[in-house]
Amino acid sequence: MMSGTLSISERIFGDVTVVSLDGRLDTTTASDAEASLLSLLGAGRQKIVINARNLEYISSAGLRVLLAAKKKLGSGSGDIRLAAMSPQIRNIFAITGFDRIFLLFDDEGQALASFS
Amino acid sequence: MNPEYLGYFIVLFQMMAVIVILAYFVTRITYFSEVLSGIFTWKNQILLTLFFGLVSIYGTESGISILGAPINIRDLGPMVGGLSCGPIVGCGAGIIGGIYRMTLGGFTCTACTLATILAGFFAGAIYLLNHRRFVGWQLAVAFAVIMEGIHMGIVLLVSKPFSQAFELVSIVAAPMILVNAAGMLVFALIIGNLIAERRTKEERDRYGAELERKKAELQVARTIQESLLPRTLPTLPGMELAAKALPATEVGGDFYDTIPLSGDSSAMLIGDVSGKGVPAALFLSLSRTVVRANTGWHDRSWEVIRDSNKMIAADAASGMFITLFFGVLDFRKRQLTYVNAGHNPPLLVHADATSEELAITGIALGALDSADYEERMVSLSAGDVIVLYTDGVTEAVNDRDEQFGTVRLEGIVRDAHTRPAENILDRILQEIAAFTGDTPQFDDITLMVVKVTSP
Repeated sequence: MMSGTLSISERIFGDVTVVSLDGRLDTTTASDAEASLLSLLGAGRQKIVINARNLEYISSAGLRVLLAAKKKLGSGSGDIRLAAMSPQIRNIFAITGFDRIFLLFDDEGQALASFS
Repeated sequence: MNPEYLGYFIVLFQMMAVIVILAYFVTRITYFSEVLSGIFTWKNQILLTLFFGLVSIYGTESGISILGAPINIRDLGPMVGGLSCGPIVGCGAGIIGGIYRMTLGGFTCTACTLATILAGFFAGAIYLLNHRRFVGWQLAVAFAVIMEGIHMGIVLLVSKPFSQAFELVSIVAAPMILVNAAGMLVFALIIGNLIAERRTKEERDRYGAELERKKAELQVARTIQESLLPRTLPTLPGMELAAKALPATEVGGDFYDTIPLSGDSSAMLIGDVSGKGVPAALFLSLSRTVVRANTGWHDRSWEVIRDSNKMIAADAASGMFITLFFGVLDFRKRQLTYVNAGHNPPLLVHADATSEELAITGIALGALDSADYEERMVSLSAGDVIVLYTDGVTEAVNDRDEQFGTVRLEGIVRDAHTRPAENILDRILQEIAAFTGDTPQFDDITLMVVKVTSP
């Protein structure tokens, strides 16, 4: 099975939380990612940067998790922004049109700066 | 060996054999199982009290005199009763065994009666402290050792004259502790065995029930999905149409459809819901109905998809979305007008084997309620082949974790493009099967092939 593992780590920069995804965000790992994003939102951490530098693959189940979190945030000051994705992942975002829903940044620093 | 000692061993061995039988017996009666399940009734409490009380009386009666000192396992019944069934049974059995001891008299009468009642009381207290569970054999044996030590202490404190009590205790203490600890070990192991057996069975039952529920859910999801697929495909003038959906074990939410339109045209759709199981199947059902309804209300494909998206987005909980390719085939003009809402771009292979992709013209439905959709048109000519597919095709994997991919798919279609639609479809499915081998697939594989024939 092409699944496997996804490790999720979180770092805090003021009111922004950087979530690094390392591995594959697919059907098998989506529920873990969803749980950690929703617990961040539940704890009032509304500004989230997903660092996708080590994200190898994202399936529609993975896109659904990001979209669910984004929809949960609504139109307030909080947002989920993505940074440092590989050309392959960026291509998936372009193909599915998700690059029109999420703000994508070349690196984490730019994504962090965009919140201030 | 001293024949006197051999006699003691035989008697002790007999006692242990009786204990094994008693322990086996009690673990087979339903009242004991009830208590282990946390069900306490007057009936099971009274009957178990009587049982462990009788064990205590047996412990007194079976006692032997070693070097003139009585060795017995009177405390064992109340201890086991209390540890496994709680304070009522423990104290009850202790009182029964204690009263019986009292009738026998002797200078240790008060001390032994008191010790037996206390044994049941302490055992019951340990049961409560351990959250109404049996403590396991290690702690049970340790308790038996300590309790018999207390028993000896009470004899020393209460029985008069002290010198006689001291002489007795110095002889019987070690064998009493040993025999009661051994009896407790036998009981505890057999009870522990029963508890472990019941836990295994419970886990198996729970696992079985969970499996049944999952199977039923899969069946429901599959039934919904299958009911949404067209039973037969229409005959299109000047075109051939073939389609196939192979659901994965965990149904993925793929679908395809054709909708006859007024005039000389027909819509064809292929889509994939982001999710699996019953939620995906229900979301698919909603989306299909919405798109079908909008197809009747609008003339332009982009309007159909724009309004469908608004309705689906309003209803899309937990981030669900559906990728959809919506194409209208005009048989007379030989044109395909399409909107591609985030779906894997279908492949158009021309009669001269050149190919192009029918690219995305908007985002997947349900993701963004204000999304705009563009409509595109391609002219078709005889020999053109359009292959619509879901990501289960290009993301089918082999045992080396390689994906089937669009390059392979395109190669096959180019190779087979002169054949009828049905043949091209079969050929793709055969190649996927050969590529994946025995590797299980986790997504539905859905394909639709349109071939433009001579007018």
